[in-house]
Amino acid sequence: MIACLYNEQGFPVCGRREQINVIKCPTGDTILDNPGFRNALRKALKDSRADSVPTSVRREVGGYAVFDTTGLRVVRTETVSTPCSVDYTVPANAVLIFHTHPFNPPEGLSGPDRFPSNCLGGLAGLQYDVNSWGGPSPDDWKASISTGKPAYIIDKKRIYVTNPLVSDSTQWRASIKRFDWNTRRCKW
Amino acid sequence: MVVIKVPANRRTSMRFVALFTAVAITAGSDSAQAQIVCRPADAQTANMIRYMKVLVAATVPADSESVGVRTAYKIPAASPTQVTLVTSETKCKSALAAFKSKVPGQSPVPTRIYVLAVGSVYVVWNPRQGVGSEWAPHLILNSKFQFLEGFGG
Repeated sequence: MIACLYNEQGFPVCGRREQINVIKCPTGDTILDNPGFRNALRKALKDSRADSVPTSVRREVGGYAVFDTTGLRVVRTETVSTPCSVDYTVPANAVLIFHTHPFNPPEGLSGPDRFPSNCLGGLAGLQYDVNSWGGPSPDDWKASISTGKPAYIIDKKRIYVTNPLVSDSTQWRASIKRFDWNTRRCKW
Repeated sequence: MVVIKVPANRRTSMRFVALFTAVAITAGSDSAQAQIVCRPADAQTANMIRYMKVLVAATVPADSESVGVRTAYKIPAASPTQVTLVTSETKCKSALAAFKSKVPGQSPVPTRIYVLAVGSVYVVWNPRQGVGSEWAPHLILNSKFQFLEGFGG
């Protein structure tokens, strides 16, 4: 049986399944099944200090990815950030934007993490909700739509991918693509 | 619009009528605006109503995650038909007062609020004010409009 793996440069390497390392928890999303991009997402989450306590030291980080002669290249451009916000720049030739939400979503009967005290706007102490809008925040959706690029949002258990063509906010929840990456069902 | 009819047999000066009309219109519009605290149905309420209907009706093991969220948010199980948009100004005023108490310092100070009745509790929120985070605080209040829980959504 033929299977494909993406090399560190983002190009597919295909061969017999027993001859190559088949990617863990394949998603069918060619970008998300790219090991280089997966590594970049995990590094972003690590740089978010997503396991740190107190949670107030966590930071969102983000950026974009482009295809160039070396394959898929991931660029981090975050500037100002807090545990629950981040500013980052995106060039016109980006194929996607991404950033982290350094919190646990609910899983099974376990509830989600709470926002730390330095999350402004009245969020401090409230719970991290990933179902109101499908996972991304309303601002994430707006950024995806305004740039015309899918937004890849990674939290401590899942990745959420927006469709930038869905401008009707009542359809955001239904249109989101969710992938487990660190749950009981799937671990990269 | 305020219409003042002047009886033909009265010699009322037009200046007085104009002044009275202006005062009446101003007072009327202020009064009307001051009373509208409940935010009306829109895309936000449609989305949140759909979400809450899923939460209140969820069961284990079919949708244990929603049950977990419902428990974490202190929302009781209920029939989806018990999720409705609140239009009672009295209730919205109570909800707004609770919201401002729990989420102080918002600028501009909110004067209107979304209120959903979700079984025996209320879910209350305002559009995000654009300060320092991606999410808008949503509060779950009990039947006496006391804070129970909250989430950023």
